[in-house]
Amino acid sequence: MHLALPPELAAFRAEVRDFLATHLPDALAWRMRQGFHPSQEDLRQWNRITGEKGWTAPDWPVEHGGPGWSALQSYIYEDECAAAGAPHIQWRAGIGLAGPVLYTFGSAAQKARYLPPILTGEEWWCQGFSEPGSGSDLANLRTTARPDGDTFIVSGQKIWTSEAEFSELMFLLARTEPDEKPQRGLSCLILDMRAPGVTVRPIVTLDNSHTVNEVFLDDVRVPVENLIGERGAGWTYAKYLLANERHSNALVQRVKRELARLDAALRTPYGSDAPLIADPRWRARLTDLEIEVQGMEYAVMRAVIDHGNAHSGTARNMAFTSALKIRGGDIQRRVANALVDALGPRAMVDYDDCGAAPSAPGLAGDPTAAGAMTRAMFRRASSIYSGADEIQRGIIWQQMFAEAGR
Amino acid sequence: MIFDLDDDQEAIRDSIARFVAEHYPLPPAYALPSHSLPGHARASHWAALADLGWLGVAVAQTKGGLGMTVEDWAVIVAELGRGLADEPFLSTALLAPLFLTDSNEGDAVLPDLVAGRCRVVPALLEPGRRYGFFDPATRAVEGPGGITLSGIKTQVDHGAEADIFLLSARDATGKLLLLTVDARAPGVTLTPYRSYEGRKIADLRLDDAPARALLCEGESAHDAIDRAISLAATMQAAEAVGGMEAAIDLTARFLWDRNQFNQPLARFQALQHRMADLFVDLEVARGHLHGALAGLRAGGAAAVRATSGGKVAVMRAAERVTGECIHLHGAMGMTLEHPVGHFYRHAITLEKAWGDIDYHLRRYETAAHATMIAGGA
Repeated sequence: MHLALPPELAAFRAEVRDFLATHLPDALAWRMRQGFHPSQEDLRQWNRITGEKGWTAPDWPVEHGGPGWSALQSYIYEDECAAAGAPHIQWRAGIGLAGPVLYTFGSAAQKARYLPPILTGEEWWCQGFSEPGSGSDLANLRTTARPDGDTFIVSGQKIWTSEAEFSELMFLLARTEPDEKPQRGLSCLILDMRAPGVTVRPIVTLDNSHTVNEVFLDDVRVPVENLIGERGAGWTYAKYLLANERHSNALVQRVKRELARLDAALRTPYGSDAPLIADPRWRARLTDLEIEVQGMEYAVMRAVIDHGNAHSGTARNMAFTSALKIRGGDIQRRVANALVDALGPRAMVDYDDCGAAPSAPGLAGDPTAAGAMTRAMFRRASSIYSGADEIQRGIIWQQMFAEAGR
Repeated sequence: MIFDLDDDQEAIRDSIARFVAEHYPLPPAYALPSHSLPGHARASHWAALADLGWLGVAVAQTKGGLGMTVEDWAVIVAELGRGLADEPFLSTALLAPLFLTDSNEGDAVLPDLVAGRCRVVPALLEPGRRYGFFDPATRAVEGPGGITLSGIKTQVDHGAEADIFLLSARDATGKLLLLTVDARAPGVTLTPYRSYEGRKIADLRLDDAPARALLCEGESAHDAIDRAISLAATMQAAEAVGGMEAAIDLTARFLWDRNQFNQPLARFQALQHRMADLFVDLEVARGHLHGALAGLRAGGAAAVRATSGGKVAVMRAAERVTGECIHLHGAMGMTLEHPVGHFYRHAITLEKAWGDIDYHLRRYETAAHATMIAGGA
């Protein structure tokens, strides 16, 4: 064990910071730092900008367009993006899901056709996994893809589909082998979101934002060339992604910066009120969160470095990823709530993502509070998405302790 | 001392419960407010509430009201909380009478308030600081025609529907005043908007607006605001308890209705234990509500400790319980189309109005440990 950061990484960090300072649009950075969601324009623009630099997909192999970074460099890139307020497009469905499955299991034609537009941002993907009847029990999903000559006929319904409203493509998990056991009956398909039979319905969430959707698939024709890899191997590919998930959903680099924002809010006098930092109770709350996050950062770094080495895919590694998701999500909620509490009644106004209160021009609000409630409300889902906490605990038990009694 | 509802209180509860179920459908049965659209989604049933006499629960029978007890009020408010009813009941039916009692202005206004013809809303919160209830920036200037007011009050509960505002201000010597102002008086500008939760609020701007009446000043005004804070904290605790009950009931039913892995979620012990924990949180919170109700009667420092301490405890429980109920619903709990998430959002609204947890912790400490603080410890 050697825990000192290699000195040459300082130069890399400076290079990344410099790039972000000159290329990250101010309005987008403000939205991200305040707690709003990036718009479609934000996401595509950032994808384009990083694409021109060759930095869109930090974790992709060099032969498919990745920059050839080490795990630590990738971590530092993410860290600087969090500091600057850049959206993490590398975790979205195109770069984070469709791309890796395509370059690992796809055909040469599929790689040539689909990987480059992911890197430039010309094509945006959404993830078609969850269904109304299949949340945690994903393997039992019911959307079918029935073979019919040189097509599959896809029927069913997906839900919680982020960015479906503007995605060109869906990475679809559907049932192609109805007579097999549930996990063995699924296949990965590339579905054209503009094809006839695709209907997208927006879902507004507690953060007053539209980021997820319901997608109805009514006899959508998908060409057989759009099958990725083998029929019936869809679940294996999905599990491959899970085992190789480099980021732990802990968002620790973002949370670190949110604590800096909390610190600033506590130090800023509000009218005639003394700054809250003068109150030992607030100092203790901030201190406790800072301590948790500083240790968590090392746990996340370990996960990042363990990926791609001998630890990757091991039982302990899988359990560790689940552990980071559980604790990381909890910290995210507490940090977001702490900022709302520090802002007090200012946080109760409904701000739009330009800092104004949309339903009342000239309002006596406080734009510095804009986005705080959006983030806090969205973070309520951190115990639910990407595998609910109960599923993560089940994974930990299964991977670490299920064999202990034998 | 009896903790169960008596027959009259059960009748009150059932009556309000029926009213709420009939008039305030839960999502997705009502159109959802969108923060990019004007207008609001949920109709007000203020006139119907008035017809049933409920607006008079805090007005003495001798003044045309029902003269009920604080416990009775808590029963009503809890049912409103169960149904997420969006009405300024606390503001107009409970707090306004507290400020107006034993005044000429009260004699003039309360009968119309009880009849639903006159909506009186307290407006004490100002922008630019967290709370500051006792030293408002709004200025009262004594002139030949009477008192005029200048300043801004923010996030006024259903301010756009108000007929009369009940305001705090300070005069040139810094003395605290409580006054009323006609909503349609010259110099009054109202900016309606919506809170994060989608509830109707308004900012009130006064430019030399003439006051209707001076209710009280100095020490009396201070006491009135202090009693209002205690009452508001207690009633918010009651509303939060109602919300927790409803969220828990919804969640228990959901766990039986929702199947994953070929069985109802209710069969999973981990989830059974989470529900059990919610029950613990709820019933202990109820104890805090009862303590606050009992403390209101005591007055003085005891009232402050019971009501502020009670609000702190109940709001912490409400955030935890309603948040857990969302978690137990999975992603469905995150949509505005499902009622469970609304209980969580409303729990936070309740916490932030009339002093948040931070405010009430300080208020409790001032009452409980003042000598320690004064001694410089």
